[in-house]
Amino acid sequence: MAGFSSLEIAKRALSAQRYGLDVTSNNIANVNTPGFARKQVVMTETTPQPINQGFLGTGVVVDRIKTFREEFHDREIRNTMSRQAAYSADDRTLARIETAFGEPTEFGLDFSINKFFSSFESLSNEPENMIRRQEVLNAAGTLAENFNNIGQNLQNLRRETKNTITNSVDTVNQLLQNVASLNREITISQITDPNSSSALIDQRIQRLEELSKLTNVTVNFDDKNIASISIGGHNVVNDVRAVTLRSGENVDALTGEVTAVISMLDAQGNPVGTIQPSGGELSALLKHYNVTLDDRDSSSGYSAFRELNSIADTLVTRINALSVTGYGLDDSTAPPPARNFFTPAAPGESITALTFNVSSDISGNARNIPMSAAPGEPGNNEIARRIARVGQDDNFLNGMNPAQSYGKLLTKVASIGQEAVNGIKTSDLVFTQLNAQRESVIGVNLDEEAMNLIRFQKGFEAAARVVNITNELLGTLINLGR
Amino acid sequence: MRITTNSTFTAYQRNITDTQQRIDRTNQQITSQKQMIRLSDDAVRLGEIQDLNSIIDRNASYNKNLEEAITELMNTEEHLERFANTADSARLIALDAANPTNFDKAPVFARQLRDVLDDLVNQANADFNGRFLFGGTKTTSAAITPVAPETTNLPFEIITEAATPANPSGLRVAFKGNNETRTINRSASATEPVNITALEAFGTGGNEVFQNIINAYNTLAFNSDGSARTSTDKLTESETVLLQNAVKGLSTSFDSVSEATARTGSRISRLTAITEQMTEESFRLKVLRSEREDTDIAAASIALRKDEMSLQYSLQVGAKLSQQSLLDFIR
Repeated sequence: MAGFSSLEIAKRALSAQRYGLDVTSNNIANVNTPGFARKQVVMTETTPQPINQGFLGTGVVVDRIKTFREEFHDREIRNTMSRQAAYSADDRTLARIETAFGEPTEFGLDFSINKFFSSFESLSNEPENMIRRQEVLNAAGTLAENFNNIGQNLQNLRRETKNTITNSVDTVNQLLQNVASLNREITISQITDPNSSSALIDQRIQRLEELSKLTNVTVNFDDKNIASISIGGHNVVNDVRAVTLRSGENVDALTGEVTAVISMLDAQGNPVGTIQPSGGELSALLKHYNVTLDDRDSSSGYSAFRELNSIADTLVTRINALSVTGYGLDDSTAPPPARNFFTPAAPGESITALTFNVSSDISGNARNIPMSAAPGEPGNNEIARRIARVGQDDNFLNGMNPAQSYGKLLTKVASIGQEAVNGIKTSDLVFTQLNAQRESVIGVNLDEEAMNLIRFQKGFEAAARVVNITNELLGTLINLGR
Repeated sequence: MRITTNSTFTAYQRNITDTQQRIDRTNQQITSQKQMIRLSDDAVRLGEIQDLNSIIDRNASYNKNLEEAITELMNTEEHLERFANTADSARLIALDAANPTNFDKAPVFARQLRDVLDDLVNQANADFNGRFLFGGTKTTSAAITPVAPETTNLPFEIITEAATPANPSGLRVAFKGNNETRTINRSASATEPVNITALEAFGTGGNEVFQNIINAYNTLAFNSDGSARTSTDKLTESETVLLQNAVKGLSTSFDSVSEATARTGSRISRLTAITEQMTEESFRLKVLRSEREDTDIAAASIALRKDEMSLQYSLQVGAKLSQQSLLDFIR
């Protein structure tokens, strides 16, 4: 009896050590797999057999495969990823806005505004000088071109932002479906073999992290380890069902303002509500589409496009108000011909960076630029001087002169950008720390696994040796009496 | 804390990336010579640079205006000096003519005065860069429309009209400009006149000085009855009084032109002082801007060298880190 028992014990040991080797191999194989949590074989002694002298051990069995994972780290990392992704999207968009403005360079709008007013100062010295008049036209043309270019760039960027929102929503839908599918697979696998679900759980963690980058999510796990997901208070994954999201636009009937929205669709594809992500890339993109880059923004947020348009509109209004009272070189009789310097806005409309243009009243003939306050006085520079003074007018817009107004716009863009850069740094730091903490728990250490390999190899070799010895003993027994 | 293979590599990779980013940034700062690569590098500093740029540009613009004004005023001053000298010569001619010993030379003096009048009118029509200096804001010939009997598009013109007992020569100098002051901005709130009006330089109506010469000419060239004076026609007592009055008028006109010249000179001095002050201010502002905007090449070069060394050592350490693990020793 004793010999057979040893064989059984050795067999169990061989099986357990081989299991250990398999788990170790799997850990080594997944050393670089994102989201993988290392596994460990938990062995327990099998139930001892009672004998007259007490209890006799019956060997070892693999009780379970332990997965090193802590929900606290996963949740905090997801939250940090959301913040990090939002700041990164902010940074990317603001870097593009900064590029659109072409600052800080010597050829940006700031330079053009100063150059424009300087050209009037210069012209006021010789208002009858055609070269200087042409210089004024050139400076005005460059200013208009700069406004148009920036406006066009911001408009293009807004369009691209919308495309990115649409693509991101598609990816969110895919990830929500993935999580729902994984929920289903986890449910099934837990019925058949609880240990087999750990790989699926790792995959789901990975999907949830990808999702967190796009939008912040609240994830709850039930007692069967099924994840339900909410975005902005709306449940989007429940058990094995995922809601479909769709990006669209709302047009305000009164102001014509176009804003991007993310709708939830029912099974028939009808919108049943909207969601407002408060974190992740999507929240930043929506903010920039609906506020920063929205030229008709009516929110209390900061719209760089609206501010730029406001400067353009005020500039046109102020310069035209002066130019219509002036006389050109060939205007010898009153009243003034009421020539606009810049193309005025259509009734009920405002000038935008895109519609900012030199008026056809003067663009074809520099002699028509109305610089004189009296007819038949080419040396009269009154209007030129007054236009030049607009450049220094501290009440031009919101208690600032034109250059300061534009400077404030740039400073605001810069400070939002700076905030994003600082946010990236901070969230990077937090992420690094959290990731290091999580990695120290779930990560694979190759040296550690190498030791496990040796440990299980030695265990296996010893168990094999037991088989050999037991075999020899049994042989001896069988041959007794021969 | 438990160290894993991934955490070792992640930290290592992160350090390398950080160092490379710093090197890239310092490189950009050195090549562009600007500390700020992006607006978001420093919003506060950006605001300061924008303000400084604005003030520097504005000062440059005013300075340019002032320099041009100074050039124009210097030109005006030169013409006024020449005009004053010529006007003084008219006064001397009239003074000589008033001397009873020179009575027989009256027709000669009259011819001389006529020539001086031509000279003075020519000088009053002086222009700078195609602009009449003494036409007020009517600075171009296109702005001057002659009204018969005027024939030219110049601000001053000698007209010969029908003789009258008061004006036997029928001469008159027409002023077709205006007495408007042309001003330029020299700061956000102050302006500076850059022209001398005909009224300031040539007296009432912008042509008083010419009328005084014509008066002297009429007295010397014509007798009281309107006939042309010959060398034998002596000046009567009343004619002598008329001539002396003309001399007085010419003296007043000379003083008026001289005063305008002096005023121009002092304006030039003041504007030059303002220009120098503004140049000095711009220089200081540019220094301030440079401190905020430009790269400190020495500091940047040291930082670059430091980061390059750091990168080099990191790479060496990293190469050693990844060389071996326990797996290499399992046989």
